[in-house]
Amino acid sequence: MAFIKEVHAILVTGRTLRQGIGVAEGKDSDVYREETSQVELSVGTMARLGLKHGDRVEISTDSGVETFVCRPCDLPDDVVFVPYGPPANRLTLDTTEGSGMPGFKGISCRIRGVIDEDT
Amino acid sequence: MKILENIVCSFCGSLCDDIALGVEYNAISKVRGGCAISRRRFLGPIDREVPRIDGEEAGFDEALDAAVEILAKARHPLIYGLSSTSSEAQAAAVKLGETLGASVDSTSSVCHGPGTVAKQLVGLPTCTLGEVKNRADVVVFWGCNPVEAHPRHFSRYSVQAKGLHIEEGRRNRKVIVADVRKTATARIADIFLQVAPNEDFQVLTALRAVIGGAELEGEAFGGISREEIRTTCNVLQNADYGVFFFGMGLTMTQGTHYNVRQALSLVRDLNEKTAFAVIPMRGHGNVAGAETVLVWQTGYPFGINFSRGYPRYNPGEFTVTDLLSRREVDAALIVASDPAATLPARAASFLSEIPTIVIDPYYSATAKLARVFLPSAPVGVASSGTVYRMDQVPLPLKKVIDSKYPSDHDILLAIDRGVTACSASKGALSMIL
Repeated sequence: MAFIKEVHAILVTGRTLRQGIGVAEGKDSDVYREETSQVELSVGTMARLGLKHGDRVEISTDSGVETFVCRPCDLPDDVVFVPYGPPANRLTLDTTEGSGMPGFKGISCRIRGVIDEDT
Repeated sequence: MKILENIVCSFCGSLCDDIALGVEYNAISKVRGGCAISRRRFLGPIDREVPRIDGEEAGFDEALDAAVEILAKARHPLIYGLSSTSSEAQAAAVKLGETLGASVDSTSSVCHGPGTVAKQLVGLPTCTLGEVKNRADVVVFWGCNPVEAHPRHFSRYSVQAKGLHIEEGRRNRKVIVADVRKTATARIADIFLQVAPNEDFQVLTALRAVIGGAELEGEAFGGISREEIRTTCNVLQNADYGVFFFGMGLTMTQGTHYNVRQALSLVRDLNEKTAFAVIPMRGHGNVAGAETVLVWQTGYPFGINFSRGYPRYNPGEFTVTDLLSRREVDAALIVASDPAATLPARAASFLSEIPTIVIDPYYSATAKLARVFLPSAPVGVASSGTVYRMDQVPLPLKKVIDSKYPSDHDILLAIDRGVTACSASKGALSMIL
């Protein structure tokens, strides 16, 4: 695995309708697995990284690293969005700063496009 | 086929109560009304799971005994979840927490907990969703996306719904959406405030300043121009009856309860000019009930500890993420929740290092790493009970089919009886020795 260009952005995690349907169908369902492994990026960010819909990107935060499939969305260039789920949880922060609330939104992250070396 | 009308769906905090179910041969075969999520919830099979100990199939009583033994031996157990079960089960969980000297927390601490802290500081001028439907001509959605998370909220209560004083539904309403993303909800807004990430507090502060009569000196606040702030304030102040819904875009972003404190203060300020109410957009079907029950049982809404024999409350100390991240508990009982799929992985992973018990109708991600799994009858499908809507209105859930497993409520009461019996026998033994 090799990487193409990288950008820094703010990660937001949240609900989507398909993620909710996946919860109701079961977290081992295809719809849940597919939806929670997607990341939404702005068209501008995808262009900067040289990505097209369906390409893989690696996102890293202070908590960990995870690979997602990207899809274009109407977002500011400095924001990326990942639906709630186990892949997102490897990036969210377990520090609550005394509030009880972990870091689920507004997290600094680095995004790198992934290319398979054998392709 | 038997048709059952006016069934409540308890998947999300909207608690739509107009679902019709067709039932035959102890199975739900038809759903009328409801959203894409509720149809799957009702039509999904039940009783597919088996009780398990260390991942291996076990008898129900054997698994129950194993759960009792784990909890009776624990020095500081955690009881967590509770947001997708009945309020009767929630009350039984609190009783068990008191018996065990446990920490008790609901999913509130990782969703609207900061909003509840803000409510304790400012108060909550609120109303029912019926009032929203009948009166609200200005509706604000801040940091929430009901089109995807509460799919029928618009049509039943807040946007398209026609009411007593809102005869033409959407045409009689102004909709304001504030969010970092241009969500599906934002796309239907009359005014969309695209807030810069982590800067909701600045925007709310600017709105409060203008409502209070101040002149803004800067050009933009949290990504929103001075002109947009002024325009939004005009709409807010000129409402006949406004309602401010907020979601986790406020509670989870930087500032957490300070953001909500500012939002509630804005609503309080607006009540000097007109009538305005605020409702948290609660996610899980009975997370509002979890807070309500915990408050009436202990005085506190979440993040509670009974280790001194009386309840103490401290978000950041007795809340699930903190207890697991700091490895401060030595056993966990998870009820109707799936922290392994919802908490930050670094916190959730500790559940696999301690004896964890899961009570849930489904074999969840948490159940897969648990020492003991006790399947239960899904509430609102195969067991009855009470749930609280996001506006604190309690609704009854009907049992529409039979399950071979007991309800969460009955399982929790059985564990409590078992733990109490263990404690009594330990006490007798120590007196003899």
